[in-house]
Amino acid sequence: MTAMNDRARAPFLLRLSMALAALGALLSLALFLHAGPYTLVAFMFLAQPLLLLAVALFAVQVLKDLRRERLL
Amino acid sequence: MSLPPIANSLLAAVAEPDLALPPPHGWIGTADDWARGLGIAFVLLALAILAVSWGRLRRAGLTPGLKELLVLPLVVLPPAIVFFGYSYGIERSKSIGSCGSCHVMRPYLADLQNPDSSTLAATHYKNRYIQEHHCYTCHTDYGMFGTVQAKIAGLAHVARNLSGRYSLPLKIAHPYPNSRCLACHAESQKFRKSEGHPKEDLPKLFSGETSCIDCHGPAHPTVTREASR
Repeated sequence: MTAMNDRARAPFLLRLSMALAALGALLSLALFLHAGPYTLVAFMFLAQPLLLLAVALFAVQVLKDLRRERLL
Repeated sequence: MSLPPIANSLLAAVAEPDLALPPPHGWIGTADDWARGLGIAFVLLALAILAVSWGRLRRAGLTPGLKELLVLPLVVLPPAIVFFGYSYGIERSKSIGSCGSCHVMRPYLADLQNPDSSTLAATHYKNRYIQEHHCYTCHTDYGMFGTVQAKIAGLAHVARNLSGRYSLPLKIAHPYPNSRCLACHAESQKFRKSEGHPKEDLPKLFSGETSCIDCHGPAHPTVTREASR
């Protein structure tokens, strides 16, 4: 039952976190491949917050899992 | 794709072997090259792990092993990517290529690199009075917050260029401060002993009462509206 819940419900935050991290990484890649004012601004104001949000969502997911397992 | 100056020099060396800039002994690339290479490697590694994890998540759901694997692209690699992104991006933003990447700046860049031009900027460029980061060096205040102020001004330039909120011909936002010239020239004996800079006039130059540009200008050509389009 727990495994089913994990598969059906829990990964939403994780998937969102993964998607945001992938987007942030792609924007960062644009900077590394072509460094210019626009790619630097995109890196600073989009990629960086996206990567930060991804870490935060992952942390929330981990906390939820720990609470569910009664480890916290 | 923009390349660091030393990479350009090495490429030029291939084209003209006699004019090759010899790399220093044991040369393994610049810090920029390494920041860029490591940044690309970490981004690709993060993307590869995310792609593999996404597939495993769809097939087998969330397993303890997958959770551990995701720590790498979601927690460990992002700080490294951000670090190398800033390291490389901020350094590259000082290049003349970065300043000249906006269409409106191209006439200024063309004049800077024109060996026949006698503007102050072109004279500094062709004689290599400034080794690199030519625009940045002359348009940044010295000191702790000079770089920060320059970056904030740069952000404003990007915003203005995106929104089109600027008028042509471009004008410098504030009077050009002598301190930027004097930071290099003040201690130069050529400057101190020059007949053009008599001792009694030096206080006026150092206080900013007299502008260096008044006698040594124009720093850049007067660019017409048509040339900037």
